[in-house]
Amino acid sequence: MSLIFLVFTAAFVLVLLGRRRPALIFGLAGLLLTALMFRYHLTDQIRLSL
Amino acid sequence: MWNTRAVMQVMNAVAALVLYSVVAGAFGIQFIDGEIPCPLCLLIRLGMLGAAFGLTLNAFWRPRPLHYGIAILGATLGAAISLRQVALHVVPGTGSYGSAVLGFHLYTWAFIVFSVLIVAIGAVVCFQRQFDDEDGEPPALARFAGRFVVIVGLVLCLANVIAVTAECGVSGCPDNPTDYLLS
Repeated sequence: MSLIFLVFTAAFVLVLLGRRRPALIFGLAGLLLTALMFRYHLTDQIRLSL
Repeated sequence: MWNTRAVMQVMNAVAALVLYSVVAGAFGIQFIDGEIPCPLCLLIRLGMLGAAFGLTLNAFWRPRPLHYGIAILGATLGAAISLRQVALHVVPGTGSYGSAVLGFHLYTWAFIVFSVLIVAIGAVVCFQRQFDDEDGEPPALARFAGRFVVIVGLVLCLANVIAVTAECGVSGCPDNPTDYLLS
């Protein structure tokens, strides 16, 4: 779970650095990982946490 | 100079700060009341940060449909996660997670916030002039607001990285956490 927060952290860092396209990619990747983690938690077969 | 775009930048910054304050409030409950967040609670925080990220992009650069799209995606995802958590506890006798604030639990408040945000974005994107290419630098207040919300978002994300690592380490987060793993 902390990895997904790290992805969003990287996205904010990229915004501060003025890198719009990489920031968008990291932000969308963060949302995608969040959705996948949510789907994973719905399976009730939790083995790992990002 | 002040135009529709600059006004919208400041409004997006204010909206992002509202979302960040919700996440900060959750931190307050975590450390002041000692209520450690469950996995779904953490996913709701991610949805909140994702939605706020889209608004932050509008505040920092300029309003764009893509940025509003990211905010809507984050809000929709967050609404689905919080609705899942509401559904887990809606049947009488199934209990609840965490204490109630003003009569509702945090996951219920999160669903309300996400729903209001989606409707609000739908209304705000109707103001098309914010997407026009307009000459002139945004006013200093708009530029400051954009930088400020990025820094607030960055600090909150970093704080969550540290807190979640302390709670879960690198293994799965417990469904009903009672203590920090790294304490």
